[in-house]
Amino acid sequence: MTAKKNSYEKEYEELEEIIGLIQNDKLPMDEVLSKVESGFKLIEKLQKTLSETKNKIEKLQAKYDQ
Amino acid sequence: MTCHYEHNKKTIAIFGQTFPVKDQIKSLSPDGARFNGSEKCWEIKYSKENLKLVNDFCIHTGGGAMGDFKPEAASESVKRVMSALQNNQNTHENHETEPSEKTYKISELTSYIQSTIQKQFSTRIWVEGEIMQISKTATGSYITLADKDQESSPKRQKPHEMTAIVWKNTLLHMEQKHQKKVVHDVLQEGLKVRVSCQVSFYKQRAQVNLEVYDIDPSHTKGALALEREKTIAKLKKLQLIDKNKQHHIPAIPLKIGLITGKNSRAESDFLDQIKDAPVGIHIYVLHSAMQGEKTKPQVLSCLNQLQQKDLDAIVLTRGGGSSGDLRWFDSFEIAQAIALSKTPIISAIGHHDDYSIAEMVSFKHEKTPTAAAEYLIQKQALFLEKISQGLHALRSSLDQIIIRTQKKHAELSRKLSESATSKINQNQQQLIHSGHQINRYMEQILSKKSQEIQNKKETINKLILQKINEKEKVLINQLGNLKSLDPTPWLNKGWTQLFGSKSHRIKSINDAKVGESIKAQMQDGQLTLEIISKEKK
Repeated sequence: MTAKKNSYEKEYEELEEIIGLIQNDKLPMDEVLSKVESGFKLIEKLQKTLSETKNKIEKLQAKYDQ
Repeated sequence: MTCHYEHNKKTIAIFGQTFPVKDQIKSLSPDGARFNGSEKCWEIKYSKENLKLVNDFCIHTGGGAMGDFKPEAASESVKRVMSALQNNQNTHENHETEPSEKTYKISELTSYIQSTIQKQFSTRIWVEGEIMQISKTATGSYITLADKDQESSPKRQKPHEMTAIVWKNTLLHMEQKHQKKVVHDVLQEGLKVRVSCQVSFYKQRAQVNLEVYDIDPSHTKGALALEREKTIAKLKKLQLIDKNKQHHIPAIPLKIGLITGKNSRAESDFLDQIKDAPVGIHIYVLHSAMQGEKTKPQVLSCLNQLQQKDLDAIVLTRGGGSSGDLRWFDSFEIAQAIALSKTPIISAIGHHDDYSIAEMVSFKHEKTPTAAAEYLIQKQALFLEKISQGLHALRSSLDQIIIRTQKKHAELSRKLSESATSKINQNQQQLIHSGHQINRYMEQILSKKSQEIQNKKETINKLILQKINEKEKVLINQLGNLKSLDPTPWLNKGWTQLFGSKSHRIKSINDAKVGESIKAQMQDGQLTLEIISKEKK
């Protein structure tokens, strides 16, 4: 649980770093595109993690309510 | 009432003053007695036992065997001795320190003493004393009476004692008068009694006896009550009345000491009842006399022995019996031992409304051995019931706690779920925001880049326009130039331009061959010409 949370946080920090880089004017356009792709991939991954977590919580809640 | 006897191998004959004691004589033998009118004596069937009884009887009447009895001589001697003693008495009164010169025979002296006693105690008197010992025989009871209180008999001196005889018939008479139980309760060793009696003298041994004819039960009861009050006061002074009650019997008594009479009904009743205990109880049984002189030492010994064991309680009990027997348990020593016992003592001695001092100082007293056992059983049962109720209450409380906890857990679970969902939603929002941010930044970047491209495009366009303008200018210039080169005016003036078969301009004669068809541009059209010849200039 802790490792996963750390993983999420780490990936989120990576996302913020990517956004920071994108903001930076000095980054070449090719790399911007590459970072944007990486950023959206990270967002997709993090959203998937959140969705999975949400599903698990809902299942746990349902199991507990029984 | 002096009686004498003689016997052969068949019959024992009793002579003398038999009429007042005829009932006693009849009760000497199980076969009874027959009065022989001709011999003026009572006859009893001979046996060794009967002979002994008759001998004892006659001795206590002041008589004995016939061989020792000489009625006429005795009466003469009595007269003589009485006279002499009378003279001696007078002399003695005048000369107290000087002994009489007169010498008496023992029989003369005893006869005189007997006569004196009979004269002095011609009627029955009341005598009080403590019963030291009772010996029961077929003819009656022989009681040793003594003064045991300090006033009459100081401690250092041996108490004064006398033998009192209760003939069997007298005893029956007393039992009819006072009830058998009352007489039994009064005539017991250790009790103070007041008896109506006749002082009698046994001449042969010069022994003075008391023949008992009645008892005073109220005197004995009063003395017992007084003694009891003294004992209670002493126990109170020593703060021993409630000392044993300060102990505690465990809720589930498991080890019990039992002091009771051997093979008594009390023992069987208690043991039978205690079997019903919900939790098995181990019983250490010690036997003791529960009435009589041996009661005190044996009960004390048993109590002492049981102190060595680690017991939850000691039961001191006896079966039903006379209320008079309770007095053995009014002993100060027994009460003290109970009070100082380290183990709580349950006593069931009385079977009566009144209870003994032993019961008074006990932790608990019950009327019967069965009730004592029932008390222990109930104690166990009560505690088990309490445990059962406690468990029930605990179960109920636990159920409530579980329900409350389940509700709380459900609430916490819901909050947890909501909290987690909220966190996830928040993270999702963050991600969406991040996505938007990226998009926005991307748009900005793209917009910027696009703007840059646009700028470049505009720059290019400007440059192109500039170039076009420049070219236009050049072209315009060229056009001017071209216009200057336009042959039309010339053509209009009749001049022409020639073009070879390959549409090339013919500027020289060398540019066309003889026989070649050439075109001549005219103002209003073309002419096809054929070169016929060339002539160089």
